[in-house]
Amino acid sequence: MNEAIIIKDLTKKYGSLCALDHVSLTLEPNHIYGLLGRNGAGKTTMLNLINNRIFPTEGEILYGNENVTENSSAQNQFFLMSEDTYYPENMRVQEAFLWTSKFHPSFDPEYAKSLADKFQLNIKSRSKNLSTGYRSIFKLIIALSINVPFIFFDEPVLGLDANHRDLFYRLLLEKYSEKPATYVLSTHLIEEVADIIEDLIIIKQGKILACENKEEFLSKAYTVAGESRIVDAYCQDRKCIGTENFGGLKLAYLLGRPAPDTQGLTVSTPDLQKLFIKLTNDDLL
Amino acid sequence: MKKLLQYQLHTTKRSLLIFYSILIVCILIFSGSAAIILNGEVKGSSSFSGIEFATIIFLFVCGLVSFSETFHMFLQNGITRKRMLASLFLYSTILCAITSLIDKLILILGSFMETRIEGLSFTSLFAMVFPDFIQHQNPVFLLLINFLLGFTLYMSFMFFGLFLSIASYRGSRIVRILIAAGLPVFLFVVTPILDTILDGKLYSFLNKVLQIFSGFKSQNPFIGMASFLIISAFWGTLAYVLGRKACKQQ
Repeated sequence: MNEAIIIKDLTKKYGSLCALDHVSLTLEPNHIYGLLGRNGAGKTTMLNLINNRIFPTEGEILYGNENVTENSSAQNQFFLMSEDTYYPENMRVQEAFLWTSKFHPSFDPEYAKSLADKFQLNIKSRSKNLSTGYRSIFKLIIALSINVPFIFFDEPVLGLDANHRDLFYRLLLEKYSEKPATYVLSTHLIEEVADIIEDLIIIKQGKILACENKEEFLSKAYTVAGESRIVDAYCQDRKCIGTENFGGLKLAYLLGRPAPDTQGLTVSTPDLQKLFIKLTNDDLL
Repeated sequence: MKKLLQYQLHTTKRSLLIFYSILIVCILIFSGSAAIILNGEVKGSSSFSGIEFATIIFLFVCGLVSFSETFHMFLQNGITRKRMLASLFLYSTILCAITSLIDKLILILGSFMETRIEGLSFTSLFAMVFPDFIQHQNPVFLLLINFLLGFTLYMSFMFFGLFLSIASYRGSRIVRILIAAGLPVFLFVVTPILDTILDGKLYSFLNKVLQIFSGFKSQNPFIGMASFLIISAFWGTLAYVLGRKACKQQ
């Protein structure tokens, strides 16, 4: 049975900049997480810390009972597809497959080749000759072909066209249903992953704003729409996190449960991206 | 560890082949020309010495370029720094042993050519530095000592390159400039000026130190081996200390 990754009071500072500030959370086995945050929120830092690319300033990350930092047995259970390319520039895709299979016995080279065919990636190409999109494809094929309990994707669809993005999401779900593992998707394309992720982690300025089931998270907020004056009246004494105006109409995002007295207003569940934007706007909280 | 070594040796294989191909082609052209000239009417001699210097430069450069790409590749594959550094040192040691062995084979080939071409001579660095020691010694023993001396000498340079590579990776822009430009300027500009100012006393002092620690003065190659091992351990330790906390640069 797979263990969870437990992050305890994790802090990472770069000089005076605090990239992660006393973060604590648990990544459960066999879930699909969306790791969401604005640029510089600390998403990549968190993934790099889990995957031993950098060292924490304070705190620890446990896999089972073991600290994962500089721990071979724990690191063998994770794989991070980074936004940066860590493969040598002159390395051919097929060579990368070969060496990955040597370092990760769970890597499935045949599956990787079949994915390369689906994405029309020439496996004889050198890493340096690939376009931004194909470089992402090259890395995500490797990540999808490794069968370890935790796979992390940092901006997996960077530079991919809509067809390839769609293909990636379908393959991810297919893989997840066949061989369940924990997939953590760090992305800015929230609308696209909204239907895929089960749980979400929202980071704002190095702090965890939310780490919970997506449906539960969405149920904690709602929108009301209607005439501006009615919406304004309704929002008084309620936690309004943002509004949008459309002529004489107004849409307000509120935290909590809708009150019974919503006459003249349309109440609905906000979509994830809109709620994320409202929650992570700098002028809020 | 085996896979890590396999990867590193694989990445060096091509450069090693190119380096020795060039070296062997140079030797063949040189020897061929000598054979044509010396076997004719022309009287004279031709010598080929110190091929070890080429290997030293090759290994120093190997050390310089061996960290960054390998570090990234290993990080990508979940290898801890402790394991990657251990493999890096082992790889460097193996590479030095291989090159020392190849150099000796080239010298054996050279000795064979000496017997065929009159006036042609191949001299190893070992024979140049230890002329007294090599007299009246068993040839197999000499070959072994020659191999070990080359091996330890190469290690000291490769580990120095490795240290510079890690220091440069981890250092700030100033540190990188100091290593890339400051070090050559210090060695090839500042030191000669200082030596001139000091009426040649600096180089004279360095020469004496080198003669003692290389074993030249006492004609004892074991002193040289011990010195090179200590130097290798020194650079290796520094490289390890720096490498243990290396992070992917932001």
